Amino acid sequence: MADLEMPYPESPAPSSSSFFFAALMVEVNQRIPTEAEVNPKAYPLADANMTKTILDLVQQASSYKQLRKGANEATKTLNRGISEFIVMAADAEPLEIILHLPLLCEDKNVPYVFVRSKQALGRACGVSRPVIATSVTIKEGSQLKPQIQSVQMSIERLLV
Amino acid sequence: MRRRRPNTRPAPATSIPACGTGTRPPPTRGPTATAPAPAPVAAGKVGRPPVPAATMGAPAIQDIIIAKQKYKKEPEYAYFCDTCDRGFKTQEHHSEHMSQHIKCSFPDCNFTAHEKIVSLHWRNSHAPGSKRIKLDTPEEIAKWREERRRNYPTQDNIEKKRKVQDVRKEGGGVLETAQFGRVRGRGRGRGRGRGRGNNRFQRGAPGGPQNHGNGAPEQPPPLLPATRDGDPLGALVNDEPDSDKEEPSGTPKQGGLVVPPKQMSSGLASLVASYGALTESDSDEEPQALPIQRANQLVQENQALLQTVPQGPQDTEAPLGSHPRASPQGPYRGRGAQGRGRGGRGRGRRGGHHMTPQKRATLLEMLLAPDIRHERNVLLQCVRYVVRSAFFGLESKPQDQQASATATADDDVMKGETNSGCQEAVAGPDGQGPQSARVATEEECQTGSTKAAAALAQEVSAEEPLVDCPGTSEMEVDANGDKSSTKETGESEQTTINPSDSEEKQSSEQVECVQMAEETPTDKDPNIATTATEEVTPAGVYDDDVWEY
Repeated sequence: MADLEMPYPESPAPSSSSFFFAALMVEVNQRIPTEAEVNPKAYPLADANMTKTILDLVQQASSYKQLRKGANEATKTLNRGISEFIVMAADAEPLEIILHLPLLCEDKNVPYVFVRSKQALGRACGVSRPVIATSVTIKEGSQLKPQIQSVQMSIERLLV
Repeated sequence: MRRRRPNTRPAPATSIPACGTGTRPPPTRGPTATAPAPAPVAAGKVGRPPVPAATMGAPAIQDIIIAKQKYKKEPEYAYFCDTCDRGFKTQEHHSEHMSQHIKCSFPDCNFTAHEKIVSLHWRNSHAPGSKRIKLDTPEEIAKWREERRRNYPTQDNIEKKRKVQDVRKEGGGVLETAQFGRVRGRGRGRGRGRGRGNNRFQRGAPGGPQNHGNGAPEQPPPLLPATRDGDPLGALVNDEPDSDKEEPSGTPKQGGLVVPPKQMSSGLASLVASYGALTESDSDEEPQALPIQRANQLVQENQALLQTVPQGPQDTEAPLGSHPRASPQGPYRGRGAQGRGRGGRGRGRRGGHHMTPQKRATLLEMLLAPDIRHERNVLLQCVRYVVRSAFFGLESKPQDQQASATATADDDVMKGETNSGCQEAVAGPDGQGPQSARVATEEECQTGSTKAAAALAQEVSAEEPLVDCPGTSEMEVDANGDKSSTKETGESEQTTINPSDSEEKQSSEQVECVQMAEETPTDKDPNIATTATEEVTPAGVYDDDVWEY
């Protein structure tokens, strides 16, 4: 169970005890991004625990219909001021295709964070395709607000 | 580099590493995460805390149904083209698609995708005028990271920003620099721009094979859509007429069109005009004090212009003492004499009917955006000051407007203005309309924003069809126009200001008609047909002037 709880990107070397699980992961993801592989341009990069929280948040946002998927849509939400939180995938290729989002986020005072895997992000978004950027949108009476705030706090701790 | 899709139904464990929570039984988290999605909804409806780890319950029947529907919606593709983000069910389709792939023509770029995608990519990464985020060297990356760290919208940073903004607002800086910036422009384009995208598409078509893409509205509008052939220098070259236009287009117009274009445009246009005159000498100097001196020169120039071109009832004596006051007005008139091209441009920006002028911000404009903003803010501040101080008591005296043919009581006003310097002078035109000024004062005090300024302009125009307000109202309207981030605002402003236009410019209406008449044929010009297909743009007219003369 402990292995199950470990999101895959953050376990650079799956322990031998969970060999079967590791094999599964390899099968699904073909390659496991290790720490060294992560693009350094993806700056506030969530760690394992945070990734979990963030992906859960994304999933919830998806079910609350508070989610926009894709770099274009995320940009739109930012420009319209209806974005509350931006999650990007650090393994977007090339990463530059989403690097305008951090700037925009800073302009609009919207917190943002990178997670490692676009596949994981896509799954959290509820689509079968990888997703490189999502935006949790603002909604009145949103129940996600406290979660977003706590994520934001942890990101801020990450920055220091 | 096709990857196996995670749409494998029989492998529930696949979703675990992605979603991360092992607290829920894996089967409920469907492979595509569609199944677990409804669970939080149910949790929310019941009112349980939306903590995902806590929602353990099996999904309700409806949820399952929803999940199934959702599942159906997402077709499974065995073959996928990653760069184009398209799936294919059969190998043939896939290979057919792959055969349509082309390579980006940009040197050293090995991007390969479908034609449309490549054109999009080209616009994103190679288009002239597009701001690229270049992070190639480790130093650049380090710098980028450091910047992100510093600028990240933390609570503190947000608070700081807010404070800075408040301070600026307090100080009268109501305008924002971003109006010329890319982010803002992009935002506008994005906000509404399907039509524009198509428009650009058509425009791009005559260009290189790369350019005609699906005019994806997401893309930042390049500086010059017509020149997206892949050569940034070409953009510059083609851009040059854009920035030079003002002068060449001006002279030939002098004889024919001596009437100021619609008022709304003139404020901005006059400012632009003054910037055009200022920039050479002024770029290094402090933008605060000097423009006023320059304005003096401008006024003189305008006087000269006006003397050569007798115009309407008001061809007069912008006295030197009141130069700054005249400055909003002077260039405005002078510009009328110089050419309507500029006016059309300004109008376009204000009216918000067309996006072309937005895109046409010149390099110089963008470069000087902060200075321009600063100066406009200062001007607005002056206006605000004058209004707040109740026009220095001038409203009690019977006055008329200096520029109008019936101006008799000018002297008082003039003296006052001359004495009180720039600030008064700027607001001088306001002070001359007594009642309207009072009304406006009340309004302004209430809101204290440029909105009030718009109201002021409105009031002025409503109360008395004076010719004296153009200066100030222009300026304020201008501010509004700049501030209005949305098209709607711009339009509403246009509507509010229009009456004043008509009233104030009775004398000039005919000529405007002439102008309009002139505009229409020009729009049919092939040049414009290529550049502005959907909208009849003053900018197009502007362009046309250059072409014609």
